[in-house]
Amino acid sequence: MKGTFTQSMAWLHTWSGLIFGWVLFIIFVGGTLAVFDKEITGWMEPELSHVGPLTDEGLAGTIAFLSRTAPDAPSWRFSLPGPRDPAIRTSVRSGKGRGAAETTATLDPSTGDVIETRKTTGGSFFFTLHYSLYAGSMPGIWLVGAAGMAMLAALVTGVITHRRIFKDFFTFRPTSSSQRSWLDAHNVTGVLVLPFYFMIAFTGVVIFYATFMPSGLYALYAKDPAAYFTEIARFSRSGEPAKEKAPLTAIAPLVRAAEKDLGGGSGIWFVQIANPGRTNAQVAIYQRDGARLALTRDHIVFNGVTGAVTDRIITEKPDAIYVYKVMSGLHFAQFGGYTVRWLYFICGVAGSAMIATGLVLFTVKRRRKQGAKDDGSPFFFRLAEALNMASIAGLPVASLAYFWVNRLVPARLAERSEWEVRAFFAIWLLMLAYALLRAFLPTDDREKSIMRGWIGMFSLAAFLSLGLPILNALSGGENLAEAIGGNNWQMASVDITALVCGIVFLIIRGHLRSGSTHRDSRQKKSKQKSPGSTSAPSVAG
Amino acid sequence: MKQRSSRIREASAIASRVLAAIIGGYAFAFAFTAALALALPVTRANAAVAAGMFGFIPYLLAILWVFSVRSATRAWAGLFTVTLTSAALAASLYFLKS
Repeated sequence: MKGTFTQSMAWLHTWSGLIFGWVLFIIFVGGTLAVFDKEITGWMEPELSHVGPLTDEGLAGTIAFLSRTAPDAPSWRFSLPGPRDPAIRTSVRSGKGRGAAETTATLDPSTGDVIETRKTTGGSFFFTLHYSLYAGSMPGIWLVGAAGMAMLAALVTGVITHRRIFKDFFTFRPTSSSQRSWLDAHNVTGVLVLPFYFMIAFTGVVIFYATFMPSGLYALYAKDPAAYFTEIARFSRSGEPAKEKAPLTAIAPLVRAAEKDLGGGSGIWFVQIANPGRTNAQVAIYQRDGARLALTRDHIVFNGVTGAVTDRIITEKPDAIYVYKVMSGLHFAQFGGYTVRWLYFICGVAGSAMIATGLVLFTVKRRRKQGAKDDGSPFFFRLAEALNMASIAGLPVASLAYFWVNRLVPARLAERSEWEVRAFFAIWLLMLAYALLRAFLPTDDREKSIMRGWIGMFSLAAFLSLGLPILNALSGGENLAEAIGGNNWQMASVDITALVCGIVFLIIRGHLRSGSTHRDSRQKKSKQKSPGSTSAPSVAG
Repeated sequence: MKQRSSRIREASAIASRVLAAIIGGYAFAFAFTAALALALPVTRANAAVAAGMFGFIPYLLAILWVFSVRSATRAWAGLFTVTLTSAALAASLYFLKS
């Protein structure tokens, strides 16, 4: 590259950070919200506020429900209630492989009766957004993987560029020129939880090593692909359903036996029954994540007719496969309960802020070079302005609208959960269209036009955040006072987080407004001094 | 006119480097991972998983290196050499084992 090593690393930092910054911002916001996926799902199913504890009748009722509704399915799966989800969730797939349709239901754990909840994508929406951007399974995952590598490159080059990293950490000049304060904010949010960023980006790509970096697997398993499942993936394969029928053994004793065998105190997460009602039925009972840091997915396999233990998949040896499970555990944050969840949430917010400030810094620098009257400025910088606005301010608007849509769309609508997702993208596209208009429509004062767009979107985001607890109370949810009084912190936290976000959006909006009026008055002064001169840029050199 | 053609030359040099980083770097990491998996003296399962996880580090280093050398041609030449070496190593280990 041109210039010194540091200069070429700074170039790589700027451009990999910018091009992948928009995608990374979506991945970070999605991941941050996905930390609380089950809590968000709980908020989105207000019908589900009171269900009983798990009983043997509940388990028997679940099996009866599945035999009634899906007698010929190749497999059944249901999760048991736990600290983050009070219900039994059943899931039946019509066939094997990726394309198979999935039918889900929510059952009361004490009776096995169906609870009629609204069909919602819930918190898993943000999880899917996080790892595949809803861009289709394979292209989406590869795009997110590329963004993960770009983030690693941007982190290393960022550290190289900011050699005075510790000195910079204690430098924040909010009142100095706007470019300096954006840079300081980017440095502080960058350095603050730097190890977290390295960890989360690296573990994020490593989780998909079998997809992204499969050459080791090819080299060692090319001649014997089936061995991959017995030696590495280690989930129990069950074969095709047998022709002869046979009644399924009672599930409750198996759950108790598995829980005792697995230990760890975190309980049972889910039960998977292959070939139900056939002579070769097989029951696999999985330990709940969170017994330890590694995401082990330990499970006990039983013969589904006799109830005898046929296999025990338990992680013991600390080997490379165990290291992989630790990497997954670090990324998925299922260990350490709510303390760790909130820590990940805060680090995720810091990461989103780091990416957002970096993106803004790019346009602020360019604006300074171009001057305020940038009507001659190249197409790309206007596009960058619009994409910044649509991602940094537009994504929060669309995400909050997703919560609103959950309560405003009729509970019995056909394809309801699909409409929630469609509404999210429709509103986000509207934000993008608005941002493009602000950046490209002819105007005397481009900067003012863009600033108005930002202020408008943050006003909308603030309104949607601050209004969410009110909407919740009015549309069947437990209101904030009731939730706090009844110790229902999972419900209350969503409302409280929305209020905090609303206040933050108001503060950002206030800063933008005062910044733009400050600039207006300065601009007027400079115009009075020298009429006709191109006005002074918003930042002093 | 002269300025324009030099800008085009500059842009194509950058594009060439970006391709070298993304595709060339990946090819190198892919071959390196295969060689590492075959070379590690542990069980087959552990070797495959360890190499697969480690493979992202040579990729990252290759990306950084591509942008630090003097010219795009040099970046391509360097990547070509290490990829070919890794692939040759992987192929010979593969046939030694079978």
